[in-house]
Amino acid sequence: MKRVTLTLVLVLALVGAALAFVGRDKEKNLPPTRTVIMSMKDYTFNDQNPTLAFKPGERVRFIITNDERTPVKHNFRIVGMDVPCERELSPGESREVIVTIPPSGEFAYTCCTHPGMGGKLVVAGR
Amino acid sequence: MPSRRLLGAGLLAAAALAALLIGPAHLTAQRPPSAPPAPEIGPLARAARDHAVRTLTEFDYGKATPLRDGTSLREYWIEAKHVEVEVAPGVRFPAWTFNGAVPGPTIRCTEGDSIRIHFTNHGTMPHSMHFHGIHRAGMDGVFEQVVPGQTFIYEFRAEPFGLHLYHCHTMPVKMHISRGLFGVFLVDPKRPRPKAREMVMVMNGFDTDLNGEDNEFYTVNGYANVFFRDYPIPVKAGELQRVYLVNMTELDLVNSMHTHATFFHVYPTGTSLTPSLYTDTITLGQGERAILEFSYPYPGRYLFHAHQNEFAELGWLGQFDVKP
Amino acid sequence: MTPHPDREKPPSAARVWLAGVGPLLLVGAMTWWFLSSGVGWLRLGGVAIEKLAIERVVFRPQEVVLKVRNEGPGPLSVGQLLVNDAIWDFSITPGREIGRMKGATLSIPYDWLPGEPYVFTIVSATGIKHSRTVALATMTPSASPRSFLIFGALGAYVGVIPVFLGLLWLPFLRAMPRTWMDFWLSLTIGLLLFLGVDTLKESVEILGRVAAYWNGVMLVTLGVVGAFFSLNGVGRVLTARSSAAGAGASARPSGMALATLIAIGIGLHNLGEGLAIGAAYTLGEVALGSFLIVGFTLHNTTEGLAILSPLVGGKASLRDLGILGLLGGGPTILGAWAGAFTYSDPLSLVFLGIGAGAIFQVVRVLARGKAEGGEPVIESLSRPHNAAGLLAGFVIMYATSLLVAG
Repeated sequence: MKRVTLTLVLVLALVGAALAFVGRDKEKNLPPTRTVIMSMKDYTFNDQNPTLAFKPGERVRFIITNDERTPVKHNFRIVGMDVPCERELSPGESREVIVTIPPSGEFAYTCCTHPGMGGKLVVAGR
Repeated sequence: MPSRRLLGAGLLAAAALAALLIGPAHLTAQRPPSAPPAPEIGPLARAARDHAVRTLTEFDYGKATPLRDGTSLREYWIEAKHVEVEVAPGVRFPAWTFNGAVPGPTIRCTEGDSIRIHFTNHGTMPHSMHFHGIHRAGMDGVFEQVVPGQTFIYEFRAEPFGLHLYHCHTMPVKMHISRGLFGVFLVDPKRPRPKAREMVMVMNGFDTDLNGEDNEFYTVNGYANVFFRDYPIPVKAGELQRVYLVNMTELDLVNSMHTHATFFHVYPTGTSLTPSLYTDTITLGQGERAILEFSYPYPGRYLFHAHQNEFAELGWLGQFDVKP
Repeated sequence: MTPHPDREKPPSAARVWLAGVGPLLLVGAMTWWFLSSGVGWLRLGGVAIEKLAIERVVFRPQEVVLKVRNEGPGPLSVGQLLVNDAIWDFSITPGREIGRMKGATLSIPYDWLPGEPYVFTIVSATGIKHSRTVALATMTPSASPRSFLIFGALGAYVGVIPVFLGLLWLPFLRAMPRTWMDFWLSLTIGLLLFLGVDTLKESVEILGRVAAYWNGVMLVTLGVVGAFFSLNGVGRVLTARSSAAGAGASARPSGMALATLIAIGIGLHNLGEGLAIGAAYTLGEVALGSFLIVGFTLHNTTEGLAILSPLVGGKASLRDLGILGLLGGGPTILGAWAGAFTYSDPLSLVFLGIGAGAIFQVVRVLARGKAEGGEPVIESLSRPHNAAGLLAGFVIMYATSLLVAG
């Protein structure tokens, strides 16, 4: 009887911990605290391919717009941060992607179709 | 009873664990949002970038004293010192430099001027300054090696007019040049060239792993891709541009420059006021140099780079940002 | 004359602890003093040599991921990344600074072409290059249900089925006259000896590319020695159980016990083989694929023979044979999965060592089983028909190995 109770208690504790762990994932549903517009024009992002800095853990919304005046399609990805290529945008189109900034690192944001078009994203601060 | 106590303890532990894991997530949600500014690039990177951009347009005319025959006596102070520099973003190099950076200062004067260079060696081995020009023996910077701590005064007349260079001539010369001891020596003709926007571009390579066999990076004015990423060169459409192009690349036989969307007139070594070529790609051997004159008719961004594309992909890439 | 006082009572627990921990504390203090108070004059100077290993290259659609580790004596900073000698953009986590023994992951946006070679070079902040070449770029298998099935099937085709086919030789062996049995047994031993050495040879190739920091040779030795003595121990347990009549350590193990031991040993060896096949795909050596498969299949059929040898004299039910076949061939599937999805050079070295050690242990068991009445194994194997068998086994394996060559 004692052994049964003990195992039951242990199982309950484990289940509780597991649920807590799953519940922890609530971060994914947090609203973004910052919005950054990435305008693609003349084969550059925001005219200068700027270096962007964010705090670790920030939820950021990127609004990606194709502002080319000629019929050139662009795309947006951040390697190493699970922001894949997805569909190309024609001039005038835009899309939105929300990311959680990882705890540290430097990341390259690029256009999938145009190598060399892109810049850096840096996780700064603690 | 022991079993009840155990049950209580177990439930308490589970609750504590759950609180520990869920709690922090809620705390971060309540933190006020704030955007940190873009991080400052490091001091070495900033120094490299600034020096490359300054070398484009800064000329050292020295301390000039007018002489009776209409020429000037120009005095320059140059020191050799060993400095760690950044040659590509994130990559450092133990350079041997004239005046603390690669390339060294652009020494500019007029044909016929009397030149006096006070050269002090603050390095840890003998160095010298060898000028490409016409001068006496004893001022050639070959047999007269300057030991650490010593000062040597080079004196010669600036001749002939043209785009020249200077570099250390201590054995092994390949290494001394490769480590960064070079600079431009520009002698203007007595009758000045037509007015133009002038830029100095020194092509070189850096053998960062010092194996003496190959260059890891190629640059213009000492910092890889500086005019592509950090500072696209602003140019006015239609304005005459004059580039003083010098090849100081060691370990590779030739280097070259190619401009997109425009052609240039070439004055090899700058020793003539009449151009000899009209092209968009010029190849220079080691130690060769040329003056290029061109203009951009249409606004936009245009690349310029070595047409040895293996050099372009390792840092010898730039752009002109032509504004109307 | 009077007894020493300390011999009368055992030393107190505290004294024992002090005696054990004391020297350790002193060494610790010495080290701390050296590192902190800068005993500079002891340090003879010189620059630490950097070592950055690109441990793994993963190919994803339009992306390449490099897993690197700083195996040098000091911290290292990543400067630039070159792909085929061209500066390329990349992401790096956790950051450019990599501490001693720590790792980092670089993600490169690159449109790689399948089947083409790529050289990845990291130039550190000190300007030193660290490269890794991939001979043939192939999409890295990711653990999807489909790929699990494919590599599982591969493992079954190369490992499980051939071993069972080998087991089909049992009736043929049973019909053999006694002296021919000896020949077949020696042939098996020759076969297995070849396999053991061959496994060690495979580890040499990996030793060539793994960093000195891992002390690869010791990893292999660990595997060999560990497997050899563990299996020996298992063998003793099986022997004790089978000879329950209580004949003692000198009792001959039953045929089934021996066959089980051999099957376990061969299973461990096949784990390493499955690993090699799975890894060949992840490492972009797919061109070897078909020859590798044919070669391993032939190898493994002859392994079934090795399992059979002790069973010829006695009885063996179909269920027994089934279990033996699974023991011997099954691990190939596990190895294929491990090699395809979680390949790591140092772990692979350990597994190859285990594979070799297991084989050598099986060889020992078989050879001792053959030797009659305490005759030294070497002498027994030197008898003409035995030696001929040994050589034949070796030659057969060599011939099939030419198919796997590469």
